Amino acid sequence: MRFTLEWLKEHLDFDSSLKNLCEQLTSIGLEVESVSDPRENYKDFVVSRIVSVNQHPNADRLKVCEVFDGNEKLKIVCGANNAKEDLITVLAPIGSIIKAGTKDEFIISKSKIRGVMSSGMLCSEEELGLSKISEGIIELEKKIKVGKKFSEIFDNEDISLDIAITPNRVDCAGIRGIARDLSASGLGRLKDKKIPSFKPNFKTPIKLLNNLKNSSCPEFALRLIKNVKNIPSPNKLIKRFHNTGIKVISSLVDVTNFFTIDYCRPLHVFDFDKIEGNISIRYSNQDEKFVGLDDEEYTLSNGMIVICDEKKIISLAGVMGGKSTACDENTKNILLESAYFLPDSIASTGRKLKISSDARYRFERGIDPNSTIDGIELATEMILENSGGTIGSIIFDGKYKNKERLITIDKSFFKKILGIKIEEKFIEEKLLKIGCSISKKKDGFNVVPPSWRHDLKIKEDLVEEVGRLYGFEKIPKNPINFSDSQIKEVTSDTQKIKRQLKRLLVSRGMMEIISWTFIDEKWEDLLNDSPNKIKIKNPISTDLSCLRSNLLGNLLSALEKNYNKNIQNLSIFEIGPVFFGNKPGQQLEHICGLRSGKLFEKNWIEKERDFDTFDVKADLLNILRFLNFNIDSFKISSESKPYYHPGKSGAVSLKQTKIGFFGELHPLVLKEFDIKSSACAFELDFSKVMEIYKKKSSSKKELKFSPYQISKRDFSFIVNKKVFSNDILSVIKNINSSIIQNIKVFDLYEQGEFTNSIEKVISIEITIQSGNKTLTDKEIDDISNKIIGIVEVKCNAKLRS
Amino acid sequence: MDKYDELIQSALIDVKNSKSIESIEKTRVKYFGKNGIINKELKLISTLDNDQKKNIGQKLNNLKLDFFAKLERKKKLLEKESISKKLKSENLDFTLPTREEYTLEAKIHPISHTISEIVSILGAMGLNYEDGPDIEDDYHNFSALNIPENHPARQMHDTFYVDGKEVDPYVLRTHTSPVQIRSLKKTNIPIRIFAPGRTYRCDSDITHTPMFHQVEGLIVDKDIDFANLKWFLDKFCKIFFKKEDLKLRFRPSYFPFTEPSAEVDINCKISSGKIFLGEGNQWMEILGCGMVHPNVFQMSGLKEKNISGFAFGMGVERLAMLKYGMPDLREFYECDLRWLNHFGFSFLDSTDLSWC
Repeated sequence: MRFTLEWLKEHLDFDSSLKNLCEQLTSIGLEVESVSDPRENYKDFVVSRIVSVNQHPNADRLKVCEVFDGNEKLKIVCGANNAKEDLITVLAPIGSIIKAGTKDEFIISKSKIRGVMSSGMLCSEEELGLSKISEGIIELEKKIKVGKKFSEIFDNEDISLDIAITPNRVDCAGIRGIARDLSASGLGRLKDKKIPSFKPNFKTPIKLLNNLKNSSCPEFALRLIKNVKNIPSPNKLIKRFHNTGIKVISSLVDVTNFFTIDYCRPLHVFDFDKIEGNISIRYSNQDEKFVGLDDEEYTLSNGMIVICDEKKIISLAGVMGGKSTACDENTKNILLESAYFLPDSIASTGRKLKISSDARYRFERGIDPNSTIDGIELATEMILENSGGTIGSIIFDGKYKNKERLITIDKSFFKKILGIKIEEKFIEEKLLKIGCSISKKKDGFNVVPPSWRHDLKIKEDLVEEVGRLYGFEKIPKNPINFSDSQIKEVTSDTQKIKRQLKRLLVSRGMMEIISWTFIDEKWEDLLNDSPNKIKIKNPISTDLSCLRSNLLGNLLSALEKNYNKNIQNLSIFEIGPVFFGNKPGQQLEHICGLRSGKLFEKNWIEKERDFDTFDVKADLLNILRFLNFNIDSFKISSESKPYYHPGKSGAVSLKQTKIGFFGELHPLVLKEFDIKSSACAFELDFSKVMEIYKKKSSSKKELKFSPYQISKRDFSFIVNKKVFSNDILSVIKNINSSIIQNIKVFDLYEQGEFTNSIEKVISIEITIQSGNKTLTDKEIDDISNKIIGIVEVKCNAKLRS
Repeated sequence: MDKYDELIQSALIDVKNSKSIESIEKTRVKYFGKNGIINKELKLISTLDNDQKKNIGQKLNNLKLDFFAKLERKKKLLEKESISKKLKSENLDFTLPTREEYTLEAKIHPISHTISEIVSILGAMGLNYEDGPDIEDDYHNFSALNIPENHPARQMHDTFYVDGKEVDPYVLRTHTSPVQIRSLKKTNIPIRIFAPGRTYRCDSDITHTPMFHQVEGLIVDKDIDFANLKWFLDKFCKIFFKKEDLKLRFRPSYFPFTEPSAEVDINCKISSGKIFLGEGNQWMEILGCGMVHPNVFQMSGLKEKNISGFAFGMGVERLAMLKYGMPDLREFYECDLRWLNHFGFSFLDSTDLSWC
């Protein structure tokens, strides 16, 4: 909401500084977002007169002007066509700064231009940042005194403020409301506003039928004004509009826009001669068409308030007027409209048709319902002044019945909410000043809020009014006394572990990323094997059109983006939400890690190598180990997801529940992402893991050490390549011997003298120790033979001799 | 000088003349090995007569002690010489680079770090960490928060709608405030919670990303007032920004779910494009807050009379940018490793209040 200082002064008597005014506005909740004060910028420039103009001796396009700055005559080279004798213009003297504070700023210095010394510069509006007009130098009125600082020719109409209006304070979407609030806060005095009451010259010769007077349009009023001239508005108004960013249209339309801003009273003018027959107000029908003032054709749906003549819709009530009855330069007779439409109806129409307008903004937040007739009379006055004419009677259909909003409030309630005692007198005075009527009762007040403050409904609203006018900064800071002293854990296990796992993975060299919860639909199609795609109805772009069902897609996108920035070795992970349905709660927390490129770049000490499946398998298993799941409680199998390499990936199960996957990614999937290197990933369903984790006992197992001799035996088995090392290990584990303490794979030969092309050699070290005695050689041999025998049978293996 | 004296002399000379560990070992064997010269003599002692037995026995035993003492000394000397000689030949170019410790390149994302810091502070101030879902229904995201349909505040939210339900479609939560409702419904008074998390708005430009993070806070008890709210947020901001003299400005504002409502600014100085918090007299908005609106209590089905509370909400990215100086919001989600490495935090960086 932008307004000039002069405009505010029409409603408010005050003499505080601009700085104080801004501070006060912000402190009462009308946050000043920006201030435009040209006086600040033009202190160094001087109003000057051109004494004579001569052709530049060395340049056809340049002139040498003699300029009087009120003090002395200066020679200035100038290229403007409009430079002429006796022109009053603006001089930038030596040392002044043009376009100060912008990237184009430059300091005026004495310099030779094509051989002629120039002592300053004559300025265009563009050079002074006044407008975009760069053609010619500024032409000022003859009466302005030469020698004055240019900043002094600006008045309060040139100083403007832009304030943010919160949705509850539509009353301050009018200058009058801002003035009232300031005066209530103690800054200035609200001027009286006299509403004129014109005697009509004739009866408005039209019938009005408001079908919605008992629903969405409680009040509707019209007045015919004849023989107007739709000439441009007076200069003062044009300047005001220019300085506040309001479009200047024509005197008639400008009047309606003026009162929209001035009085928060949207109005409309129809060209009476374009109206066919009588006027009615009704709801629109499905698919009715309407062409707005913006030349757009809108297709209406059921239930929008429309104003019609006997042939057509002439206005979309409270949102936008119609093109067919718009005023133009030939308009002679007008119908002036003022009405009260219910906020919900206007909000719904505006939202459905996506129209933003000053009228909609005010109606949907709720203007003063008692301002309908005032609006007509105020506008009539201004129209008569600017465009002439004779006036008809006001006709109206519908009368809004104010709902009595009585709020009863105890004095003690202010203290209860604000935490400070506020004087009764202060409360009364402030509520009166914002327009409430008050009667005292025992220990409190009965308050009726003013018709323009729809936001004041309950006693808390009154507390806020008193609080903000008292000043939030004056409210003390008091420590809280909680009514209990219970101690609860701040975070849940899941929250704690999530944080720890991030740290675990970072300590393993993986960079944490946070990516969008969204994903491109095409990646969902590629990576999600369930048919449940969760789409966004109104995505911001196609690459963010779905909710992700897994994290891998976004990690692969991140890999691709980094790859293109020449970062080719990377390890990244994310812990975040994924979705399996479109309802609240149908989401899980996943962990996904991705490694691609080389573990080490070439270096002198270690062998360069690529990340491989065993790196990501280690990442995944380390998480499980961190959570104290012992190696026997999880199972590794080959049933991974289709986007992994079918032969180089696996799945991890915990208590018969599949919880994660790891391995090299399928080359075709990488190709889809335009990734030219190989990559390995792991995924873990953190939510599922935590479910299982929570069932575990937190107490630790008894710690026992055996004092007896440890023996180690190595075995090398020749097996078919398809046999997993894990198969051999579980066969040995299943012997279930209490003296086998540890089984470890320590070597693998895939080709060599002992094997043919479909075989491999797996070497295993077994640690043997008894808990209650030293084992004899025979006992150790017995268990060794048992191991050999069972592995040979179950895994179709041969012991390598 | 008898033969024993000669033996003694020659044994000690041999020790003296040994030039290596090997030769000294030979010397030992020569005299005291199984068939060593002196060993043999010692075995013969029993055959001697008593007089000689005592005399020679003593002599030889003395010799033995002396011999072994000298031998050990010589052996140590030779060992030392031999190791010194070996070390002299061993040279390492210790100016070579160390093994690559790629683990130090990885970092915690600044959002995670900032949330951790907030968790520590709010936890220490007596609040509990609550989570809420990213997909919400109209009730939790809007109507229970006193934002009915057609309310102008809904327009400011630029809501994302989830496909699948035509009437009252599910939304991606536009703020973390729905967690207030969930807590009010499930927890008994007093309630002291905070809820960090992802939030979504259909907006994307220099200062907006379609996804961002907020932290919600809610305290409801018997006698909570605006002065408590001021105290609480003042403490929080001072600890978070580590500026004891930080100034806060509470500016009246509007949120449908609080009444009165305020926005909080902190003082700063902006000089040559940099922001210095806690200095100067410019103001920087950091969060929104207010006293819980009675309609919120009512919509959540709270029956207790005479309770009151306050709520606040803040943007995590904004707090992080102000504290750590990231210039551009969008880069938080660009996943650029160079940015993450520069603005991220080591896994050893403690966010625990006791240690930071």
